Amino acid sequence: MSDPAIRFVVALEAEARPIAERFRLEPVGESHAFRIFRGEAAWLVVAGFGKAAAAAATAYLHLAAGGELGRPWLHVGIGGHSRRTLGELLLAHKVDDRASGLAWYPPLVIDAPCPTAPFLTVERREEEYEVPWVYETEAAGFYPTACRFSTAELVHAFAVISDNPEANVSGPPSAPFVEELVARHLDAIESFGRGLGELALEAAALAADPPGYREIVARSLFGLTEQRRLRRLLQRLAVLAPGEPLPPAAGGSAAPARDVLRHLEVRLSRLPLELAPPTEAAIDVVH
Amino acid sequence: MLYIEEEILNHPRTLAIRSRFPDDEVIPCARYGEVFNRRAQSFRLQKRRPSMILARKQRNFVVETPPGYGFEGARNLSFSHMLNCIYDCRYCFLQGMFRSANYVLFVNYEDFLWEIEEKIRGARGEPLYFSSGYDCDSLALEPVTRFAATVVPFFARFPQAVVELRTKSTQIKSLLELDAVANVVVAWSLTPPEVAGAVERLTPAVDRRRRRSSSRP
Repeated sequence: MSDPAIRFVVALEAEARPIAERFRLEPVGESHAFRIFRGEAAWLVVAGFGKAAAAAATAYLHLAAGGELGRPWLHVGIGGHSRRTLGELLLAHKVDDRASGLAWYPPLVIDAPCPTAPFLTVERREEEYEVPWVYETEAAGFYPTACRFSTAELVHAFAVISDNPEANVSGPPSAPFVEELVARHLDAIESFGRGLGELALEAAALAADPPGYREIVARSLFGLTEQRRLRRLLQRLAVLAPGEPLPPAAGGSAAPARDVLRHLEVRLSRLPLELAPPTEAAIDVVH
Repeated sequence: MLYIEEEILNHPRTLAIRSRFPDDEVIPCARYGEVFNRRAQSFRLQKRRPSMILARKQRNFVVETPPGYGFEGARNLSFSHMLNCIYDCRYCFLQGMFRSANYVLFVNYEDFLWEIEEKIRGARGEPLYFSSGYDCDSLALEPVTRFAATVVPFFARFPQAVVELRTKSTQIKSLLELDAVANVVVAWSLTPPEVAGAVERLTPAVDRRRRRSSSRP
């Protein structure tokens, strides 16, 4: 994987500022439909309000960052809750879109740096919280969009509680307040992001092309089904005969795809299958 | 995490399982399919830390096995109370069958047993062979599922039907607490230790499986 950088999606400039500072992100100079920041370890897009903007910004960032699949994605935002404390950081274990009724469950396979909670994406900012969920406005746009570009285990959403029934404020929170809320949790966000980055590397290694695959498809014309067969055969070859060079015929230029595949199948059929080397005790029993 | 379908939040088996994991966060869902095997999931990443999903199976409790599978010359059927296995054998078809590595446990055993009983009574004395352990290991999570503890006494009532519990597990405590039943077959997979060590990740050592297979109450 050439670029394991985290992709951050936020709605507000105030949410972006502390993240940009922590990750040393610089604004990308060219004119963009959304404000984009970039650094060695992360990209960030400021989406604006609402789930449509979040979805669009997520897709936009994916392309602006090079279109590589399987990267970690994090949404960081603010939300209201009927019971949680102001300033508390929560990670979504469910994202529910109230308008459509659709729901997603981000699979959590590393330690969460904070409690998890269900998120309810609403169309407008609300101040009455009927259910004890995080009321926010972007996650249902961000999450399914980011999952198009990665695996679900690498896509997560944080919210910092900016409002609850005890808060004596009406109207949207001020920018300095939002910035301060996010800044409190940068350690947690950064460590979780790093964990996702390691997962992404692991996933990339699993999905890597088997040895010889790219050379062979570059030399011969393989249809989609043939490519899949070639991948499987080369994976088996790598397991059964690791490190052995590809036979010249299989790698020869202009060999038709079906000849390449047949040659590999014959070669594989002749390889001895040894799941594990016998121990000395087993050899003694045999003799 | 423990996901539970809302419909079975108060099912007795759900409550019993929840009592074993009091610290686990419970996340209700409408249907297990909302969580399990959705697009854009990674089996291998989820295998690092699988969650459990408690669900109600709605249909197809018992299926006929394909020709050539099971006991020769007999009518073979299979049922799976659970999807996915806690073990990680490299050769297992489960490695590629689902996009999710989470365990789905169908808590409505009563519905499985109802359909099994219908099949047995409908067979009018024809011997039937049932197998368990196609989509999971039959005994690996027995302390949680109490599956064998439920199924073995059931099959004791129907000596004309045989059930095979396929396993690599050593979780036989509930079996040892029951009277032996002639038509219940516990079938252990035994591979050479060198092979098991190389490709049967997370499974009990073959020697332990072998010793468990010859245990007496």
